Amino acid sequence: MPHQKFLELIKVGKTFRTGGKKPAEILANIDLDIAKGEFVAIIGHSGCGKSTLLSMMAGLEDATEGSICLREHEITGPGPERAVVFQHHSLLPWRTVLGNVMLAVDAVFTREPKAERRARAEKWIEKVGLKEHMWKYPHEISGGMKQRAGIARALSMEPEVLLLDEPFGALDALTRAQLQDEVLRLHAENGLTVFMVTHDIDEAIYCSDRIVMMNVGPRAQIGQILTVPFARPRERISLMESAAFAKVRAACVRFLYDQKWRSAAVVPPVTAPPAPIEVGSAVAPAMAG
Amino acid sequence: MQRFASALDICGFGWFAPLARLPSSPDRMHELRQFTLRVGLPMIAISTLLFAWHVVATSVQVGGMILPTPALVWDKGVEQVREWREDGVARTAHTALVAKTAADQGMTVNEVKQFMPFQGKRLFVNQIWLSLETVFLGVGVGVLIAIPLGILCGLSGTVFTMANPLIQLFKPVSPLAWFPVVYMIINKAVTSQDPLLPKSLVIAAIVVALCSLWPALVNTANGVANVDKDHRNVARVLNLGWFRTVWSIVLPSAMPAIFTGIRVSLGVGWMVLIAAEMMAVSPGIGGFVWDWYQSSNDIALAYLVLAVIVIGSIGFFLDRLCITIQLLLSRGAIAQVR
Repeated sequence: MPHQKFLELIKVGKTFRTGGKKPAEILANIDLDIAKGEFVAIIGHSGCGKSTLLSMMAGLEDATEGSICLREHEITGPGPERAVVFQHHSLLPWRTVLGNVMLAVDAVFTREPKAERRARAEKWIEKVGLKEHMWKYPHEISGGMKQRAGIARALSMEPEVLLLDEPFGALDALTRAQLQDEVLRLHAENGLTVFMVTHDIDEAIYCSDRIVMMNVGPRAQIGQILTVPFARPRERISLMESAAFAKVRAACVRFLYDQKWRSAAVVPPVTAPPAPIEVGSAVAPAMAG
Repeated sequence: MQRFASALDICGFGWFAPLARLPSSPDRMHELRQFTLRVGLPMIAISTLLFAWHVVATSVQVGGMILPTPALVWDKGVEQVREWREDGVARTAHTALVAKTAADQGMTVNEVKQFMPFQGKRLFVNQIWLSLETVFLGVGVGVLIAIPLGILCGLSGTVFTMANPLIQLFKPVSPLAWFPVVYMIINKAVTSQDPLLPKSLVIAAIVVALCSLWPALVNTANGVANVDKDHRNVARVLNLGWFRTVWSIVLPSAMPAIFTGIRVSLGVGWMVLIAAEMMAVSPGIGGFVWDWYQSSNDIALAYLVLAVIVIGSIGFFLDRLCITIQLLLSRGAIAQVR
């Protein structure tokens, strides 16, 4: 198999320069390789720049340092191969579910005849289970359905990378679990590469292959990357009851808890990786440094 | 019935919605109470005003002039409507006569009309129609200029910075200040003896347009500039082109703001219209007011008060019309009505 790098973040940094005030360095020195088909979650305290990192991968914001490459081509702007599901569904309220998905399909598959585009949209709406609701407007469906519609819109572009920005943050626990399972199913069925920003440690562990844990900002860096040692497909209940799950979870919580007590103002540059966390052999050393 | 009730709500007859819901409502007392409140409270206010008016009008005399009572103004209103009906009958009879004469003499209808014109009076009800035509013409022209300009201002910071001082400069100018400028230009520019539209109507409409275009412009610019950031990002992720972004994302989300602008513009236009018609001596409601104001008749005051009430009612009706259109166009109402 020829080794071609898929999604690479190389020494990525982001500094906001707002007139007058001194520039705010949000992210620094982010190195990360994501393989094709991998599911990576990123967690960290609020304001550590997770969402900014996702925006840069989406091409909605420019990296001020370093570069982000997909298949060794640098990302310079948004593109249909990197679909985004936003935290607040961001469906257009004046379009039906079908209309919202059609907007994406029409924008990406411009050469296909109308009937084929329509079939594509309906296929994806069916895959997220909204077939009966495709003529409804966003205000007529529940929060979970809106997020499904957002996912259908993203997937209908047939992206290689799916970027999820706290996609289930606003949903109740049951709906959230249901949607997680659906995203995992779509991930497995379509060979997607997924990058997910989340606040929810259980969600990160249950869904992802690796968890990127961020230091606190400013100048946030990758603190640790934790490989999740569970085979797929995963079974929610038995997994969450297992001791292994508790161990991974404890590792994440400990990391975040330690971060909380570090003064944001005196974050030293990471010179040595923090002590490895023992979860079998599943811990990769911190990549930042 | 529920649909009918929400349709009533949308059309501005929300007062009656509880009555419409009454037969199917699980809590009939509640609906009745609602109706009593929504209709009763305004009725109390209106009757208090009418009563106070009546008392003042019958007990106070201003320099020997008798003030019109509500009953007198009502009579004048009824009289105007009756005259309008009679005029309609006379007009139909005249049309028939003209047609018969034309057939008898072997001439065209237009030729007969030349020597047998209809000798109608200037009627208040017809003047209302003329005023409505003028205000729609004026506001229509104003809005047609304002919306494209507003979209440009909202999309481009450069255009907005260029236009903003001009908008701020012209926005507060009174119709009375615009009037002489427009009057002199149109008077000299229109030389035809039989122009497409009467000169006075054109002048009034232009003054209306000049005053009413600003609210629509400012609101449109605001609506276009404040499109939800998430929706803008959707357009960017989908790589929509400039035109697609404006057409599919920007305009629909600015639509409520644009409609609010049109609504304010129509309100301003209606206020300006009366002044413009008075000065232009255009035969609209403003002209009616001007004619009675010029007469030294004591009864004039009754007609003037009638005019005030009619102007207010039509302004209210126009506003309701705008709200109804806006509600129908907005997504929530579409779902409700269907």
